[in-house]
Amino acid sequence: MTRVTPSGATHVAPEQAGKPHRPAAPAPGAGGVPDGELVGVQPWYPWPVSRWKWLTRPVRAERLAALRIALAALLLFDVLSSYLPNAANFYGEHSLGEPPLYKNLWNDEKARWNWSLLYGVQDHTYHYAGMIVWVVAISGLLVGFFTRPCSVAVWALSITFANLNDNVDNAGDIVRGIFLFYLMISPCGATWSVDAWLKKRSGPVYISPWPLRLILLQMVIIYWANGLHKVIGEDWQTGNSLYYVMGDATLSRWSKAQFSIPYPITRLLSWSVLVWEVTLPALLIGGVIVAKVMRHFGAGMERERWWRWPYYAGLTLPAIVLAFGVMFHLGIWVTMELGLFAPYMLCFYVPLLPWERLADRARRPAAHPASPATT
Amino acid sequence: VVDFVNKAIAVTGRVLLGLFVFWQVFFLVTSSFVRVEEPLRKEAVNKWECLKRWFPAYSKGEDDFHKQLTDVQEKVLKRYATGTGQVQHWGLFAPDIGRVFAFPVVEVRWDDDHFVPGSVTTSPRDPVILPGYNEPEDINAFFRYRNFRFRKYETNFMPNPTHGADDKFDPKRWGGRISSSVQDDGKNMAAYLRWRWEMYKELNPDAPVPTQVILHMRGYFIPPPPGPDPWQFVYYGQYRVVRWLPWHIRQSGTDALEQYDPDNDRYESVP
Repeated sequence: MTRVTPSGATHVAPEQAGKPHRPAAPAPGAGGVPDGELVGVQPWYPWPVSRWKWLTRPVRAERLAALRIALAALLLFDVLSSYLPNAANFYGEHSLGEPPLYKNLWNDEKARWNWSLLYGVQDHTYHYAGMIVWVVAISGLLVGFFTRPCSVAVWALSITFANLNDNVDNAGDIVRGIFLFYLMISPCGATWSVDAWLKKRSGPVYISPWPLRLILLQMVIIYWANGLHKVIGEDWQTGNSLYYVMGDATLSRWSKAQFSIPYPITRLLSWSVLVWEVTLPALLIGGVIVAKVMRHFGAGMERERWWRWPYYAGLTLPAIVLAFGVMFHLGIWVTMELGLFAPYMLCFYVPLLPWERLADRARRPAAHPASPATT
Repeated sequence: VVDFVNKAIAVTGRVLLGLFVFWQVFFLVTSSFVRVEEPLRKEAVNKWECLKRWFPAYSKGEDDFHKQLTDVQEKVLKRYATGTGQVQHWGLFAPDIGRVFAFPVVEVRWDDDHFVPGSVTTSPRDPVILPGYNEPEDINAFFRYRNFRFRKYETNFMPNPTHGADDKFDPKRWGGRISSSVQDDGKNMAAYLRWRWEMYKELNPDAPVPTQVILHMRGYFIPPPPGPDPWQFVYYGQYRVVRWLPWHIRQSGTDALEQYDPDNDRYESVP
């Protein structure tokens, strides 16, 4: 176990001495609780990556815990409302997903690593049993009880059912699977969980940031790949794409004949989505670089206007860019019936919020008298 | 010794986790690059012909770089993606959007329509029409909030109507569209028709086995922007796609399925 002291130095327990990399100390907690516990394995990186604080400085575990809770709650709703009631319709004998229908998922040389715990099973009893185990495991993941075994079971069953009938799933379900993969291999139950409560963790909990960084990278790649596919499309170049998307009555929440968003607005929205997706990595990285450069070279110039504007612009740009993404998904959710695609995508934004403030606020009154910082 | 073993295990774990992080970054970036590079390269070559002269092998994707990249993608990245559930196929509503859409309509019949007279056992019942799960009662006024997984299934196998340059339904190409759809998704069509019949049978246990369960396509066209005022869809009509024969001895795959030939107004067995 590693302890982080008020001075910012990392205390490494004797059993960890001699490890190839010692993570950099986290900044004092936002809520003024500087002491904390570091949970989970800290990856070793070679130089110069080991000097990159963004990838090595521990972050508060509440960020990953919030993602775990949000995803598990959504998935629980998804299973109870769409999978479980239709298990016999989607999987097994005389269903829309009879095993012989999806032989291609298994026989294709390129997809040789496809797998399912219920491969070839026709009897619906097993599908219902799998669903019940799934619900129990998701509940465990939600409250963080036996978090690791539950996360493994949830991920395995998610793939199991996805590979039995991929025609009832969409991109939101793939995103869900990706999240579950990261939750399974990361210490997502380090805090805000029954497991943490049983281990009597009372102070701030830190984890290595790698799962959050990989999830952020995955999010940026999704948008950028989408944007680059769109940029060659004539509909996106002319700004007609959202007009046609909203006119497709197989997907739309309501009829375009009933309520039609004015064409100039759909055009503006189409172009803004295209520009946002294509420029997302540049805007995120650019904002951070501008803020860092201004801070590095502008020490002592905080009162100068020429310094303040670019600094704060750089600081707020990523937040504005990400807020656009949230609005984009809320827009999709309101106007289109794509199941839980939008909520699953919004889970990417959950770890970006400062959830640790909630924990610190709840902890402060009780912790203050005994806090090392005040003694 | 125990201390040394514990240290060795801890160090190995940290090194392996570090390697995993590097692998994930490589996997994510390379998988997406491969997916995006091809359409972008083709588009660039179409736009700038000179690229074909300057980089003949690269522009066709036949150079060593592409060969190695494809090899890595097919043999490693795709398998890892499917095995771990991280398939990287991102392209929502891209690159272009369809102008037409369709709903399936199922018709259950007990007569000998489009059969050789006397070749099937008929019953004196009127045909029953079962609209698609996703089809609203009124296309001009609805609010949709559920059944998206059924919608996903239906749109996967449902062929969209063919349309010509005049934005009207193109009946000449409809036969070809049926053939290609049946080739790709015939098994799903058969499973859907059988499933719809069984759902109907559950609610109507007295219904005898029908002679045929027909899949129709009910097609619509989205008028070009900004569209008519007041705004409305262009209805293309309802067209036959396939029929499923519940009494057929062999029910595997598309064995009991017949595709419609609109040019000759008859059904043919699926090749």
